[in-house]
Amino acid sequence: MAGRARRSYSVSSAYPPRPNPALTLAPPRTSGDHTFNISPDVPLPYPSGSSTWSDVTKMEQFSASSVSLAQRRHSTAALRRKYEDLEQKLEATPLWVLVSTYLNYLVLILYGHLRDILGKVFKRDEYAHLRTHNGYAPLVSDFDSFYTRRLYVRIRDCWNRPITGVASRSVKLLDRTSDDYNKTFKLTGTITEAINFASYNYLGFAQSTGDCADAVEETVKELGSLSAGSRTESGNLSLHRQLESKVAQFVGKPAALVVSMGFATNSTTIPALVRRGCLIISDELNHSSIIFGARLSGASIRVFKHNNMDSLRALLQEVISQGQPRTHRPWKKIMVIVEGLYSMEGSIVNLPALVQLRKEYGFYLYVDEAHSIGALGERGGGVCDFFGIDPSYVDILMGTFTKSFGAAGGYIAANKRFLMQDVIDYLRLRNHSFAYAESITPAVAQQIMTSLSIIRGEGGTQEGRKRIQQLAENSLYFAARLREMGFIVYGDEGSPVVPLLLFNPAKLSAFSRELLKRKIAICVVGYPATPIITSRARFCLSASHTRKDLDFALEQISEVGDLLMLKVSRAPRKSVYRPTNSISVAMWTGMLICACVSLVLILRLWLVLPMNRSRPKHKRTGPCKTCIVLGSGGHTSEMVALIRQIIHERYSPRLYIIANTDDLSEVKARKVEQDRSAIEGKDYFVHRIPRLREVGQPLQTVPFSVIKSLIGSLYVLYNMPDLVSETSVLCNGPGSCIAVCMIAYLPRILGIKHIHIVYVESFARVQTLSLTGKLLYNVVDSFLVQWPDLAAKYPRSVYNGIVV
Amino acid sequence: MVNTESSYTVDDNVRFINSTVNSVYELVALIPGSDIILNYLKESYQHDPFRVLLELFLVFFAIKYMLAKRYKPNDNSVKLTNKEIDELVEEWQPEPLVPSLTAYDRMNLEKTPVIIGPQSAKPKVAGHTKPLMNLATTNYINLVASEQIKDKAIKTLRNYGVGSCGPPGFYGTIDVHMDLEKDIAKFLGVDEAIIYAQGFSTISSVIPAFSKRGDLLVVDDGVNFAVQKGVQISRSNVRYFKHNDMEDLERVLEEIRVDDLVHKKRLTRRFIVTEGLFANHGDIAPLPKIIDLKFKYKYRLILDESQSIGVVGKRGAGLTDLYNVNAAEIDMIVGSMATTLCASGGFCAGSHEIVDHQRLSGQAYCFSASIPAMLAVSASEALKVIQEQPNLLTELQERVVSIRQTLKHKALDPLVEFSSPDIDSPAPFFHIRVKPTFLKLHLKDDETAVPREDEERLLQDVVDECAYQGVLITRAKYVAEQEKICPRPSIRIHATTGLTKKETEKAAGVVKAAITKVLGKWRR
Repeated sequence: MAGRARRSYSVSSAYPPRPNPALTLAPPRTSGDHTFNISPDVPLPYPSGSSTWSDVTKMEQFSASSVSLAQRRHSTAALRRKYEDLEQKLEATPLWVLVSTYLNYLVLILYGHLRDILGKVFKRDEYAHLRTHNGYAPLVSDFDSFYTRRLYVRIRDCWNRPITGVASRSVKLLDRTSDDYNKTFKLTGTITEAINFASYNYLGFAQSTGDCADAVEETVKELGSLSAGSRTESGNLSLHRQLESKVAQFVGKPAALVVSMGFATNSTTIPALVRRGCLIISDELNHSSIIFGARLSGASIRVFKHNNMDSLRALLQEVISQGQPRTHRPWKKIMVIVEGLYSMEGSIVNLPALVQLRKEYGFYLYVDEAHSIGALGERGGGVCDFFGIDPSYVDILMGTFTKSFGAAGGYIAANKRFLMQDVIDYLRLRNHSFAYAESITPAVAQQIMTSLSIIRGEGGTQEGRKRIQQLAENSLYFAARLREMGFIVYGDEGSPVVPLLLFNPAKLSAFSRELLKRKIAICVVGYPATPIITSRARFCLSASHTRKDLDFALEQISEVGDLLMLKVSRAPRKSVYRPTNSISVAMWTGMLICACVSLVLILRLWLVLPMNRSRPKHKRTGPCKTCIVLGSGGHTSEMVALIRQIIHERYSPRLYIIANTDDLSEVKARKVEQDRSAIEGKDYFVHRIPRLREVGQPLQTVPFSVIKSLIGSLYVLYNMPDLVSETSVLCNGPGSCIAVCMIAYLPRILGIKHIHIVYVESFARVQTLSLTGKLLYNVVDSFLVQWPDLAAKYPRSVYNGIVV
Repeated sequence: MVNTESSYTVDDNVRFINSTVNSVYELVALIPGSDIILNYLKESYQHDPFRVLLELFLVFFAIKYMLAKRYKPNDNSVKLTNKEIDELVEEWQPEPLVPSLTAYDRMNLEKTPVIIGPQSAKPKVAGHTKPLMNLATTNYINLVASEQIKDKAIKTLRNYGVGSCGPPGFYGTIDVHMDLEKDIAKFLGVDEAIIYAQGFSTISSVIPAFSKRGDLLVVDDGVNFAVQKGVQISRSNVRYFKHNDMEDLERVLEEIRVDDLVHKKRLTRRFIVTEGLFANHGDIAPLPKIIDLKFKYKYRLILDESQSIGVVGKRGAGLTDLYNVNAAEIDMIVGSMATTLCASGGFCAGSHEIVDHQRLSGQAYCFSASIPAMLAVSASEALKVIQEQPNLLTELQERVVSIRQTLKHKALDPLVEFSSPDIDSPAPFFHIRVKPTFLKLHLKDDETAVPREDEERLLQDVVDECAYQGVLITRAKYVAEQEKICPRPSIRIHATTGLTKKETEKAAGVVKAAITKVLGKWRR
């Protein structure tokens, strides 16, 4: 968690896009504007007219940010914009959420272990499968399956929900119940229809009617629905060839090949491209199919931080300069594998920087566009289209047909280099799927071809454009509204996947169930698919969603968000985002440390206060450095009288501390010393400190003068040659003695040294103490008064006769 | 004199040391709270000096550990200056992304048949005017032509669309998937089944879901590529036994048992992995013997029935049907719906525990979109066809026997050999390989063995000749450099009920003639 650079957003909304009228396509404003089919026979799962989001002024606020990505890219501001501006950095988790999430896990784990321990004792049979029995090791070990048994099973009703029909704008869920705490489920036979925010139906091609379905039906009638044989043997239909050239054209590469499964496209192609002695550099959040393929290939694998180009650059420098481990021979090939759009974070790859790095370091670039193809870019051409980068800068473009095209399978597209070196032809012979796996069935191939034609606008249709634009609009609107509500939302601007952070594992199920109750189907993702802390809900937007759908959903999400206390974002709610980064954590820690230190100091102060301590028993005999604080007027006269009486040899050297505006006292002090023929610099010193408070000084400046005075006293008291010898402070009431006493207390609090403080109350005080006296009463070691009545009144004070 | 001198020096030194220690002590005493530590040290020293030493050592170790650089295993990196790094980066030249295609590669690409129009028993192939008789696909019982399945597929299309647009975990589990899982489980006679979206990826995902690092796999060395990849990615300890050699299997198991006893190894998960009907060899695993051994040595059995499901056995339910074994005795039956059933996808059948575990741990299940509803329904329907029309399987058996009989001609005896020499073998396909004796006779002067490429070209000539005569057959294709033990080049012949008995005999005759003709001319 801490390892990842998590900054808050700095969004391009800071540069308000200016739509270029020449490039603006009129965006549909209401759901009625859609011409493409969104299965009108499907009744809305919510009562119509329930949307409260009909405030016209608010709608207008959004019209500025709901222009298409194409318009954004062509706006004047966009020309200045770099990837950095577009990036939605991941917002840091608030501390209390972090703590409560960990506590949540702690409780779950403790409870799980408790149940395990009790269960193993009292229900041995149910736990038999975790023990070695009959000579067989358990199929899943106790430890490995703990998370599944004790955390996942509790909330597994949020996943693998069975459906029926098309998972398009809405999805028909088969209701199920469980009598045994989610171990098994039973279908109740009823159906719940919910708005679908879970399927990767980005462009809304998951349809059972319309052009695609019609074309597929024709194909099935003509070619059948089945296929037999692998592509290299005898399952190679001319339809496949057509599909491949069409895909190649669409992604902007000279050649492409298609595989019957998206997962297998990665896992069976990567081993054909790299082998032992090659290096794969992979983004840390890459899809499991890439990891699968990379592990099969036998190549070395290194990982860089998610979408972090600095990390990648540093890694590239290291691996190229060091070569292969142990042998240090240069790598045969280096292939950097990234995804176009990361479906868990919603982040878009920093392709411009990658292309720059590719030029500098000469690696091969493999971009997995499973989620981005069709969903990003003006033409739906994926990340290259999105950033306006020529596809020839990317060596291998991979993508799937499962998502935007509503079909199945995947493709690999690559450059033709020279005459004899065709990547795709090479892969046709080496790709595992081509030699061993089934080919794409005609029905699926036709679905891809027809949806591709629609996206490309073949035959002059605008429907593809409309779908792309609708998707972009929906994505921007939905994410912006969620952010505005105060949710922590990841993802780059324009991403059709919008992850909303839930953090607590308990909220995972609560959020999913609550929304399902409100007829909204979403998917929630937790550990291990995400870091343990950042469990999230994922909304997949689709072109088939209408604004009304979104508003209804947003309203419900907001309600559930309030219920579950999910609106924890501290980013400013309105369009301009400022970084609020993770200083907060440092600040909290700092404050905590400060509080602890001050608590200790206060405790210590309490302990060293004379009233809580018995008087030191032993009598001091050696010479004692004495600081004498002189005030103006009466205080000085009294003090001078006192000094004349003390034993000079014992209280030596004497240190006169005088406020810097008080010249008279200094004269008096020198006179006393000269009378005894003491030598300045040996027997006595005179020091000036800033005055604590001048008479008539305005109150608001007092803190500053106090600090000045304190610093002065500190300097004077500790700038003495022998710190170890005994020191005492003698004072009788001027304001500056408070500063001196405070400073004299410091070494006592720290336990370094005990400075004895003697306070002599003025002769003029008969009934009550002076203000300074009251302040210092509990603090000083000896408190002398000159009237017996006072001594009777204040038990800590001592009456030793009149001393002046 | 010397003594006094030295004693004086010693005294001086002692005094110096004393005063230094004293002042250090005083300095330490000035630190707040230091007296507690000093007292503690004094006391513990009096009681147990060893303890102080140990604690001091621990403190130093902790400090050293905190200050030490991050530990990297096998780190032998060289320290380089920035300039050197830049130069090295500048110098580095990668190999081309892929090597240039060889002439052999080009031949392979060019000779891949392109079927125009629908896949069928008599497809139109590019470059040929007349339709060819198809002995090259797994369309054994001609399901691709089934109108019943076609109708059902269209009906499904109108209800479910094509793609499922999501993995099974995220609303990608459609009711038809659940139905198909039930159908398969019922067909095989096991508790449950789970379906994957591609046949090839099924087993390479099932094996690593159960067998982890430290576990043990005992694998037949003739298994197909998908199993090899599953074994590879599981990172388990692997022991191979000779293909279909039960004595060797027993030897391996016994060795492991003895080894475990000697080294007192912890009991880990152990699996025997083998194939029902071997794709690379066309022969059938002796299942009852394997089951005996599995029980005897306490192993679990993973059986890849990708080729045998739907064709082998009386009901077509695979090896368990053929040998009349209770399917529940096999822990995992993995199969493909892309071979006989001609749909797409694969499945793993077994107990509830086995299947349920994969719903979270099967990589290709969890992280891939589920199979399109149309194909799931087609597979269900295909199973129904097989169950409703058992005569199809007997017909198929007749066809394959008739092909074998034709090809078992004396004229071919010195030229080629067959993977399943038994004429009545239940396998619906077989490999034809050139006899090693034939190859030896035709060695060039400078050769010790015929290169694989030449052998492949020779077989391709047979395939071409057949196509010219109106029969579509194919060489078995491999990614040769990645196969563990790549089988010798072969032509694979699949029987089909899509061709009548007469047509099949005719086609077999063409193959026979082509072999005689091409091999007869070779290297003359």
